[in-house]
Amino acid sequence: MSDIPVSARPVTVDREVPVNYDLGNLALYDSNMLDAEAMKSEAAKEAHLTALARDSAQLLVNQLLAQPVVTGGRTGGDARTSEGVFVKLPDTVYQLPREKPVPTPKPPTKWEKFAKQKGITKERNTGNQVYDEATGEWVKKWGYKGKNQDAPWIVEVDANGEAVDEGQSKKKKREEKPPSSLLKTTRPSKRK
Amino acid sequence: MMRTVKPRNARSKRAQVAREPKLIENTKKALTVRGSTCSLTVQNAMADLVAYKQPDVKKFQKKNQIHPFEDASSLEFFSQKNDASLVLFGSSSKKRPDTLTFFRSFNYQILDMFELRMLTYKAISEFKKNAVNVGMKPMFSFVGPIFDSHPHYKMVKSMLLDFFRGEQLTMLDLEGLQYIIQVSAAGDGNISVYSGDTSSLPDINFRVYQLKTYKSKTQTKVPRVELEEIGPRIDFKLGRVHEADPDLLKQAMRVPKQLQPKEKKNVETDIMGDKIATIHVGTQDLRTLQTRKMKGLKKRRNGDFEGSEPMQEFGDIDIVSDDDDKPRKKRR
Repeated sequence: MSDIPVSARPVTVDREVPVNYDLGNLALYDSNMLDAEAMKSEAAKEAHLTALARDSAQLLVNQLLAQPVVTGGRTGGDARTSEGVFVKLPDTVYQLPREKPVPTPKPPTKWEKFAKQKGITKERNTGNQVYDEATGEWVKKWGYKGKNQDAPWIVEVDANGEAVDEGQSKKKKREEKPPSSLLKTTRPSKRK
Repeated sequence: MMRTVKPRNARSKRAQVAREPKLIENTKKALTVRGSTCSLTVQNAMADLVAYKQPDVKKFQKKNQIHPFEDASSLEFFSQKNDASLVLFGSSSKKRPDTLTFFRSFNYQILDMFELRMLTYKAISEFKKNAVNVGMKPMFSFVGPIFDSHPHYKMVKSMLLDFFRGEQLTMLDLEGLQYIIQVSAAGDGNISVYSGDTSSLPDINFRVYQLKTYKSKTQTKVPRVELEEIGPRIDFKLGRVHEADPDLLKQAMRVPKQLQPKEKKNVETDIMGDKIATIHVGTQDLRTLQTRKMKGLKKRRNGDFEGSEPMQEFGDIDIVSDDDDKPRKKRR
């Protein structure tokens, strides 16, 4: 093989028994037997093992490149921050033991138990906006144009039969008066 | 068991939270511990092996009077203190020269453990200097049918995979494919499981190679891979083995419900590999059904219908159907 230039060497590998892949762990499980003849002498053993490893690496690379590819800057994890070509790894096949037990939810406190029994739920602050189904708009719960304000049940009416706007009439009165600054300057300094 | 203290400040709280059991676990940390006698070869071998586990490693420098197969409680203690579930213990005695013990804990209790005696050892430093970046994930290749058949070799496979695999990723940068760890064993896998004679078990060859990729002249995008050995090169003989307690192993192998794949309803795959699905369709509204179009039923554009005068004006006419309020073509 060594006399052929590297680029001309094949990228396919033939194994007698097909290998099992575990791409989530980047692993390959090869159940082919090692060559017993080659394992006898030191040099032949190393050459055999290296050849096997090369084949395995080639098989793994071939499989990995067949996975969906994401080019940098689009999806989660490191792909967001760094540039480069990413492959999406499938889930692991060979299950390894956990380090610590599966987390269990915290036991409820005495209060939580009691609250559940009594049906007490925590009141969440939902803000000052409420949906008015009649008009189909979001309105304030209280305050100016608030939902809790009913239309006045009695209204003062002027001679024309129109409602007297108390606020407006007060404002008019204020505007008719000269500004207080003017009043000050025109006021005599001392009266005696 | 160590007592748990309520954290007094935010830093210690963070440290405690980091140790808590999680749904998706932290990367397992490793610890190297020296026995009461630990030859330089073993020390170097431990350093070499652990070089591929960086940065999730802690190395202990002092000797410890520990015999893990007699009493593993010290290793359990170290495991808990350092939050490291993997321990590599090195020792060398007259009876068991140059021995590495791989220890794995679950919930700070011993899960499984085995001993590997080094037969040959060639250090990383004896190979041509090739740097593999810190924290890169290795590729693995386990060669030999014995890794699927013999329980002890299965354990070796599981342990070595667990030890070196590093961070669990969903997205892998192709630049990160830098080296491959090959673990191989001879034999046809038909070795009697508990003959008691460990000398007949095949040696385990541990090799590490760096990947070199070359553009292939063939039309495919796939590159040609060549390898260069970067060491360490170790041949192991399997020694004593502590198998996992079945109950503990069952607990350790539990997959949390949230991580289990969701069962897909109404979709099946038959023997031929064809996907078969059941579709539930709601009741059909026959009133909006499009039937045959007829000119007579056609709506005119300006809203009036054929025979534009109102019907009331004709006193004695037959209306095709009087229960239908649609105007129909009148008949005389």
